[in-house]
Amino acid sequence: MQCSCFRLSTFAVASLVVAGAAGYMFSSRVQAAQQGRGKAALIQGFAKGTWDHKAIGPLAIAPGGVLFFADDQAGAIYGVDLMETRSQATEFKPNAELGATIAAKMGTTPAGIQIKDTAFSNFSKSLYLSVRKTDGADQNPANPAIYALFRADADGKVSQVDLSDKSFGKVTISALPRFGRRNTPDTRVIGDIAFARGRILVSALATDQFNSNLVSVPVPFNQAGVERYATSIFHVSHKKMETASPIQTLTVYRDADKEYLIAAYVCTPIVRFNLDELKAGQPVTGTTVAELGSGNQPMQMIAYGRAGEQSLLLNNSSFGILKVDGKIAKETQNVNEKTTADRGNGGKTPFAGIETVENLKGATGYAAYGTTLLVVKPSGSGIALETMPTP
Amino acid sequence: MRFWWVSTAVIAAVAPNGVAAAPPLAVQSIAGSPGSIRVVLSGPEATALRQRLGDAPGADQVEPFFSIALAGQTTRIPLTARLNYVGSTAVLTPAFPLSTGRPYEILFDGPRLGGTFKRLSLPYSIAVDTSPSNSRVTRLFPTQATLPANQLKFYVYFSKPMGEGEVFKHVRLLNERGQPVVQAFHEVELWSENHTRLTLLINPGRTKRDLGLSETLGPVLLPNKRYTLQIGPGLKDQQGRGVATVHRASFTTAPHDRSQPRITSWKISPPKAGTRQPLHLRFDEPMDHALATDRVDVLAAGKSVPGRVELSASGMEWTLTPAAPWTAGVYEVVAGGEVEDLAGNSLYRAFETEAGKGQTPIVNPPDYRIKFRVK
Repeated sequence: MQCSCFRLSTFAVASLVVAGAAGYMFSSRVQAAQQGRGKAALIQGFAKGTWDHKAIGPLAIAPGGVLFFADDQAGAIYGVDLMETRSQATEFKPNAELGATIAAKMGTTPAGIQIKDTAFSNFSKSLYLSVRKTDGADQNPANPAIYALFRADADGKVSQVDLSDKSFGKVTISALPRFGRRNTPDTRVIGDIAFARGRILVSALATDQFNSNLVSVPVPFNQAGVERYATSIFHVSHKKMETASPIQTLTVYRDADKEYLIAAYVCTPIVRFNLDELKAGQPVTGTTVAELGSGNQPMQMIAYGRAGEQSLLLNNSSFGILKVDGKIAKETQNVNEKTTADRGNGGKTPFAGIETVENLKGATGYAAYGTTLLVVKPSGSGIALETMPTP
Repeated sequence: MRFWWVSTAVIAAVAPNGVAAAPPLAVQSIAGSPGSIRVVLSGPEATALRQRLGDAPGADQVEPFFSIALAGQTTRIPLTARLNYVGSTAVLTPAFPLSTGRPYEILFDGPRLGGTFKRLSLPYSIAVDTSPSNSRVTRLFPTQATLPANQLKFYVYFSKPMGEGEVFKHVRLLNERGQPVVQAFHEVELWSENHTRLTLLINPGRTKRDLGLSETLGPVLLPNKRYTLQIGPGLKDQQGRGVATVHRASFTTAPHDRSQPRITSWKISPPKAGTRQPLHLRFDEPMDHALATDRVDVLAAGKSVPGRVELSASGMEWTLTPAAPWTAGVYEVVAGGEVEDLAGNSLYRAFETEAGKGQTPIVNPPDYRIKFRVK
């Protein structure tokens, strides 16, 4: 969308932190209980059957190896039990041939694929990648045969995930207009998804309106439990208008027991939403905590680090990858019209706590693995998977 | 599925008498699915393969014996493929459509299987179709010669389903000097489900007053200027062929439109009972093409009146020609609150509102209704 972006489910990031760094522990008994229930609670209703997805786009992953992906051509969210086995790997091996291997398995070269998103499973220590083949003789974007899910394991192995033998569930988020003459659903295009406790958060886009469509899909899946919200925000750069802009990319931020939605918008407010305040069908106003400056479009965002001190990594079209300090993300005083975290002047005004991560320059995807960052990056004519300390 | 044999992609065994035996290795194209193939292995090789691998081998088990891969790789990595058996033949089906213009090698490693089987190698490729796409822009909305300087959307219709991913390399908004306006669009590809309608959103950061880009780059459109929206060439269809023609639509800009349409100002010209005369509805200003044709309706006893809806080139005249003659009675024009004018001001709320003023965005804005009587 669709954003050709990469993003890691924040829950996965948080889980990685548990595994990867001593002291990076969730104190939350609620979260422990969630994980303790295991995937059985997450996969209620999943069954093997005939897949009917049209595309594999944005990814999110939940504990125990339950992967969620957005069918961003058909407005649906799928959950799949990956039937993972636990890995004790403590290091992730870089792979300079990641793109070449995936591309060859799809019958092309790295120039002929688009890695749409990534998600890391702390359970198997595997990085999942949703990939689209872009140079096939059939380039119908709604042809499921041009999409695949791959996994890169910690030992360097890259393989395609065979979905045909996996149990799965599906919930549609698109909806027909209340009335009218059109029989095709709106809010069909999906920009991003993230896993929060008990739900998948979805930023959806309509093809005939410029508006906000934030959708919550309950987990375990329940079609009747899908909720929609209209979000509005305070736009720092002009300090007096509110907007119904669609969310470009989103992630879940954790502070002790609480989870927040962090959303990035075009041009580029960073806005925090209290998940407890999301009510079906109701408007919700976010809390703007930062303004990254005009002239860019955010493409992916993750939260990483210890709960309560999570920082954000945000890729955008103009400045490369920015780290937003955790203190800014959880700011409660200097927000909205009082926001001071403002890289004004087209993003050129420096602001301590919003820094460009120079050694991530060119990265098109990233995921945190404890204190290690997995980075998907163009390398020569290929695409490499590199590792580096989290910034 | 129908198959046909690709005569050039066959390795045939030759019997001692010089008569060609049945080809042990051949490629079948799958009709209606460009780039999709099946590789068929027949004869004793297929029988031996089945004996070795069983009826349902995994891809990893098959690849050492029977595979298709891009030719010329330093390390040969086969395409993911599934093997099954049809009668006495082994059928290898790649999971992905092949790319055009790339050389592939199909390999049956007989010696690895044992016995006296030979190594069979079959090159295969699909020629690049260099012909231009026969898709073209058929309609573009809005059609008016003059648009507000805060025009929000354009709808571009194509004659054939299009590809996705490179739109903003091929769409330009040109100023009076023919130069592209930078960052003119909100660069998210918004296609209809069948990929024949593309929605282009003018960059909202440069449309709203005082918003970042509006301050640094200025608005996309200035009042009283002339602009041209240019589509193509090179925009690809779903076969990867670029559109050869350029479609240009020029317009001039009027002042900004910050006011909402008002349904109370819409004028209805009721048709006569017993006729199939169109119902005429005149808006108070030009309306968004998609929303006006999709989300405005005429109801009789709460049910939609079947018929054909059209919106005039001016964007102000909406007509419904009923499928059956009108019957006398009370009808209702209903419009969703999301129905908006060219600048994104809807019946429910203005595109821009002062903080704390105006309507808050909501999921389901209210419907707006006008009753009328057919006599």
